[in-house]
Amino acid sequence: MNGLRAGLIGTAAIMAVVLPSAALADKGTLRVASQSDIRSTNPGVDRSGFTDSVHLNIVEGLVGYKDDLSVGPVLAEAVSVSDDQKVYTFTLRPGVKFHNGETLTAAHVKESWDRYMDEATKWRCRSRFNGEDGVNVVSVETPDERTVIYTIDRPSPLFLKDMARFDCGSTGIVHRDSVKPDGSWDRPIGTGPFVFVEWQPGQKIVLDRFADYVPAEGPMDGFTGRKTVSVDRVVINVVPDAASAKAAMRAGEVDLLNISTSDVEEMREAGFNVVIQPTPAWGSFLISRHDEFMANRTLRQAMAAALDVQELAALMGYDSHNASPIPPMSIYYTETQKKTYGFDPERARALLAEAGYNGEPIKLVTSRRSPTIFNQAVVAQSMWQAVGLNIEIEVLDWGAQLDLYRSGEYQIQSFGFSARLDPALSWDMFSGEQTRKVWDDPEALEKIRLLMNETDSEKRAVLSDSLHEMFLDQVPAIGLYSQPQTTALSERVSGFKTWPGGRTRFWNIALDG
Amino acid sequence: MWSYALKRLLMTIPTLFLVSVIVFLLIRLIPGDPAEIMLNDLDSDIALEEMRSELGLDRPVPVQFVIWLGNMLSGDLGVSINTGEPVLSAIASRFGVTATITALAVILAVILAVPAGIIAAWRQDTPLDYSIVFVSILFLSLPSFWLGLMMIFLFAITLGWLPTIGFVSVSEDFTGGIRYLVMPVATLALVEMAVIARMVRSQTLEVLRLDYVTHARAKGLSEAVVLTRHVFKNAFGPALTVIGLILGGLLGGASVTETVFSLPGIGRLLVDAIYARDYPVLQGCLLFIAFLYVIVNLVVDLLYMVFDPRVRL
Repeated sequence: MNGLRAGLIGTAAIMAVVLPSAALADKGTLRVASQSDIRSTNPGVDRSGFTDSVHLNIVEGLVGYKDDLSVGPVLAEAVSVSDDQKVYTFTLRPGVKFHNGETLTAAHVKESWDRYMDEATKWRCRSRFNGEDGVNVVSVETPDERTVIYTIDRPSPLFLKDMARFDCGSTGIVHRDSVKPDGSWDRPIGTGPFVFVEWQPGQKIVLDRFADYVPAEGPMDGFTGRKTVSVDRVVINVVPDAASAKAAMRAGEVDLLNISTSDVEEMREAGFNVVIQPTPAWGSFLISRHDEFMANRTLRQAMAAALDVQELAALMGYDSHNASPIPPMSIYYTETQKKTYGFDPERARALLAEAGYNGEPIKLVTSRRSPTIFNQAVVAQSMWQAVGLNIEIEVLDWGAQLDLYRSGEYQIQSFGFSARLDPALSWDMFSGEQTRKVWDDPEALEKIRLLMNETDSEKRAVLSDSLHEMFLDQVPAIGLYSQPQTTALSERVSGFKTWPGGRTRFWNIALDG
Repeated sequence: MWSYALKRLLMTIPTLFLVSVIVFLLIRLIPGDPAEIMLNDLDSDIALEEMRSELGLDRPVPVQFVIWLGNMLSGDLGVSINTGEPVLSAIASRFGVTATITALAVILAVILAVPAGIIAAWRQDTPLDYSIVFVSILFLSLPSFWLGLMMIFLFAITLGWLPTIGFVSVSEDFTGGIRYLVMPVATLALVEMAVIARMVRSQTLEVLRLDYVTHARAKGLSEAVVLTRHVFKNAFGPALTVIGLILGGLLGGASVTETVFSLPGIGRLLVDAIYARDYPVLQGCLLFIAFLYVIVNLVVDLLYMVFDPRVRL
């Protein structure tokens, strides 16, 4: 009996130590859950969308994207462009410190740039600056400690935008000590508001507040403006299962979680603040130009007319549809870009008859990479069936679907393009002669080429609008919507703002309690 | 016995070679390659070709295999395409997590299942037997992910006792580590307990009908002695095979449980590698798992002798 009592007391003591306070948080720690892990700590080199998001809290480039998808200064205080649009002069902000305490100078910028342009670095955007797939940076000069002058071979509306690109790591300036003496990557030593602490692959990423961070002036605007850091630490836990991540949030272990739009109501009912932000990521159905059957333009037009895209968008939890690849927040989203196919089942049936369609099966490829990619395929299938189209869905894993996307060996794909932040890039992402691209109309390609090189905004808008008119008529793909980013926040979090760029910013966030 | 063990260990070499060939070829038959997945919908075809060349995917498959085999024989399993981590250290660190939860789960399952199975058989067709069989069937029927989520709902969300995400090794922080282990270990143990209990019950029923048990009872031995000394030893042998298979399976990755509880174990490493077409990690993991199976089966075979002296290896 004494033994039993001792056992019970012992168990109670262990429970008292072990069990309570499961969800207690460090006061200054922002706890984030992510279904993805980062790929590396090397900005712009080994990356993914989420990897960029984490890196861009650690490193900063000379310029960065703003809320309206234009580009503004970050480490630069000012950027001036010569009359011939070939010389860019960046004046650095004074007193900016690296995480190792050194003050940023023009020499650091040049050193970092030289590392990026070295083939051995394997920077993802090297070809955008060496003339292979964009401008050629002829020289980078540093006449004094705070001035860096880039000279390019020809005027380009994309030079600064490419520099600021997320997948280029915003051409983030990293200190030479980020690299080991043998030339291999060590850890990012940048100038950003957060210091990299540790990465345990498959488990967590830890960032600490950079106490000596020197913020820029001006209101928070994308990656530009003032960055005030109010949290001491950010811990990003990798939680691959969406249900487990939501459960962790309900258990009070997570403060910030990106969720699917289908989970919005559930999380709001559970008492969380949910923020929805449209982004330039674009949902669409791609129609392969390599498939003989789908080469029938009238058939494609019938498919577009049969889709109630507004209803489809509503079912996906989105506010509005967008047939154009130009996102609504862009200055190039004109009245013309708002035009869509027009839902008209009668017209769809007539077009099907005109196309000579006799119920032949059409294969629609999708995957469960995201709920949207799969769900939009299922909903569209029923809409197409309503006008007599025989659509068969084939569900693959994302790797297999991407393989078909690259080869063009499919009929229709349910697809989502990641964000492109310039109209030329938005049109180019699915247009061209490469097998993966669905639109190879010579006139359209010429317009895109002009758009790539035109620096006048008004002329660019005209080109982009005319592309949209052609796109609606030829239906190389069916545009659906600009996909929003949906974030659930615990009641501890205040001040969090999403932005069209979609990359999560850990600055200007406060934690209560 | 030792020569048998040595022979079995030597036999692992051709087995592992065969496994490595099959794994290498099968992985490359799956559509999609790591370069495509890394680049996603971005970048040019030039970038894709550069990436393939960087990863060595542009070489003929036999050449890739010879290079990989050569590196593997010198102890280099390569580097993860997905994270840049050396495969060997990734497997070692993840296996520690998997081994901890698996060992605890199997021990717990055996401790609960063996007495339950023996008692159920001993009290066949009584309410006690029916209850044990019912509970076993119940846990066998429950998918482990559902059981895990229900545990999270009860112990983390409703009661707030246990954490749902993250992991701390018990060697670093014993109390903290235990908190992270409770739910995954319980999830695995309950499901596996059901399997073992049913196996032990059916074996015990067979043994209980044998003449020597009747003889032992006729000698006036107590039921406890009959069950522990005479029945248990003979009934446990076949259950040991099942336990060995369970152990091998779980050590090879309890991927569902690891995913639900966000544990950085080898199962999740493997699943992530499949989705990312991370060839080096996939090859390394599968080879390691095959090796584990061989070792676990060898240990089980050797343990047979302990429980059944008639077995000679």
